[in-house]
Amino acid sequence: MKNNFKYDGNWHRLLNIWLHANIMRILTLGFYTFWGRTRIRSYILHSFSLQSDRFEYLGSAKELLKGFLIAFPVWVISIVALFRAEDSPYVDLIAIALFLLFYFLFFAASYNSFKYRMNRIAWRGIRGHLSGSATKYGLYAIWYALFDILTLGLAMGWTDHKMYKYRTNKLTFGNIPVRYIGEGIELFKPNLISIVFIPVTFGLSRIYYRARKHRYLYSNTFIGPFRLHNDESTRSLLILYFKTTLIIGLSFGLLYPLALHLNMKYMAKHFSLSGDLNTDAVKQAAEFEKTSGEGLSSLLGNSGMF
Amino acid sequence: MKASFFDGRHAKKYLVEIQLNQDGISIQNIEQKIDQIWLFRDMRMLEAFHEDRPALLKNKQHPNQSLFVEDQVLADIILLHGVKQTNPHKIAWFTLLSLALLATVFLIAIYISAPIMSKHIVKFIPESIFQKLGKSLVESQIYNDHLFCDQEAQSMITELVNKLIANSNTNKEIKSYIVNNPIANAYAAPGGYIVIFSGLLYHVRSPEQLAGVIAHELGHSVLNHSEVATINNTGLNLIILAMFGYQPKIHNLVLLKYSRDNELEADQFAVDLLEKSDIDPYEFAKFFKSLPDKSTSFFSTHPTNRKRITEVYKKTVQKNYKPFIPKAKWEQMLNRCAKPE
Repeated sequence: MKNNFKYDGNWHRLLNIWLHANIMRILTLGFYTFWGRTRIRSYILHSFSLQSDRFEYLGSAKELLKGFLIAFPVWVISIVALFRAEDSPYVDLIAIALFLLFYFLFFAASYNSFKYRMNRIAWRGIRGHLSGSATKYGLYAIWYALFDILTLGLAMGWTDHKMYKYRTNKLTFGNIPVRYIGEGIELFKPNLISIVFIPVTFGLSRIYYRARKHRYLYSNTFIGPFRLHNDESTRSLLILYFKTTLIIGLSFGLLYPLALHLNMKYMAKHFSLSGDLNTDAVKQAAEFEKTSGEGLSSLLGNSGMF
Repeated sequence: MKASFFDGRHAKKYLVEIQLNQDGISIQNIEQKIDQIWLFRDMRMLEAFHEDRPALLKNKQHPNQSLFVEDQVLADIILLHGVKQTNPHKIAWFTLLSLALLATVFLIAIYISAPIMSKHIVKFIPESIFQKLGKSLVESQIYNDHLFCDQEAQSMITELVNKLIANSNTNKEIKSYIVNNPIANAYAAPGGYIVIFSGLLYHVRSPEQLAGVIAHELGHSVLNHSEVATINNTGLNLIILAMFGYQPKIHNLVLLKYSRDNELEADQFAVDLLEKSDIDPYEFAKFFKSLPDKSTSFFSTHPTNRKRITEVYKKTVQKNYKPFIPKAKWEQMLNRCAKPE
């Protein structure tokens, strides 16, 4: 039995919220950013439902502000260090080290951001929970990136699988674990084909790989006894990219909420969960609470689409 | 009135009856043993009822519990009891207009006070920081445009600049470069860097005119205008970043620009320096005549050319000046440099 996700958000409404958030952001010299982001997330999550039960976003702007205030000094120190390194005789070595550090921080911060968001999303009153170490995730990211470079991108299917595996296997919905059972080897062929066709397709062949990757990774994911399904195709992903790029480009970014809305509709359309969704026995996870979120990832610009 | 209730312990939906009391609501499902009282003062509405989408209510005493109210009348009544709406659907116009007014006042205050504050802040920032900034700015300009002249011609320009510096009573180390860029322009970067665009070499009609422009840029450098402008622009860019996020088009509007007073001050410095160096300042005035006058708008940072010419003439003492450099040497220098495209 397949249970489809449903998204019933209204893009006019989203545009309204987005414009309001941005006007307020300008008028408060940036302070409203956190409230605006929370508002948009709350609206979008509330528009998603599964078996007619809506999702909830439980994060607060104060948590985002706190995360930002904690991360800001770290960010400033990194920039100052970068600036001071220019005088050193080992400037090249330091530049490489700093590049690796920023790469590490980018992924570590994205993991923490994911952790925060999972903990603030609830369905049927139950929150998600992500354990695992952001440091480990950041180090894996560096290691796999080096591996991708050494293999001229041929290992990308395997490295994408490994990164997804680490993240997913640390995830729980309440007290039930989320498990990824893929082997990753199946992604080798689509990755190879897409790389071979990059020159003749001007890079568009990567969309083929991306669609295959999504389908493979998500469809091999179980939330307890329920299997996640994804039926994205290259065509559907290509149309989505084309539409959203056109909308954002032609409107100079002013219709970003419409692009966001299309993305959400797309997600709802292509994701489903199989099994009898009797979740009465699912309990809230014993451990949660992380009082601040996303500081560094919002500074590094990788805190997600919204 | 019916609603869906989640107790936050199990992923189980309870269809409950809601009854309004004086201080709150009672949530009941007798068969499933749900019997709760939520006080209005503890409740907050995360999502309001909108287009058949249920209102989402939370209780701060039981943060994991959720109540989805599918009856608009009930949701409205709850709101009428003073329950805080975390994510309101209606725009608070009064708040918006008040904030707009406050922001405008703040921005005007910043616009007026920033140049004054920047002058003071500059004193607390080590020169080495400006040198690094200027160096990276100039290096990226050289990387993009490449150096225009060969070593010997570059040395000749340095010699000219040094001749002027010698009369300027400054200890600041000045470094000058000519880059291959067809625009007739020059600028002073923070930390004592002067960049001359190759287009300027062909626009000026005499070496004295070039000396005038260099003296003007030296003025910006010696009088710390570049450093003050850097602080000023950094502050403005931070405010823009906070307000609009990273928007290159908006950030480009706040490039290194000097105020009209700074420009006139640098002109005055140039005239004095030219006279001290025995170089004809009238040539500097003639240079302004050769420029198209675009600086007529109120917001322009440059004074009008007419005003600048008048000011230069006012300050200039008439006498016989020596040529800045011999004509042959000037031509030799131009020949050593590539012609701009």
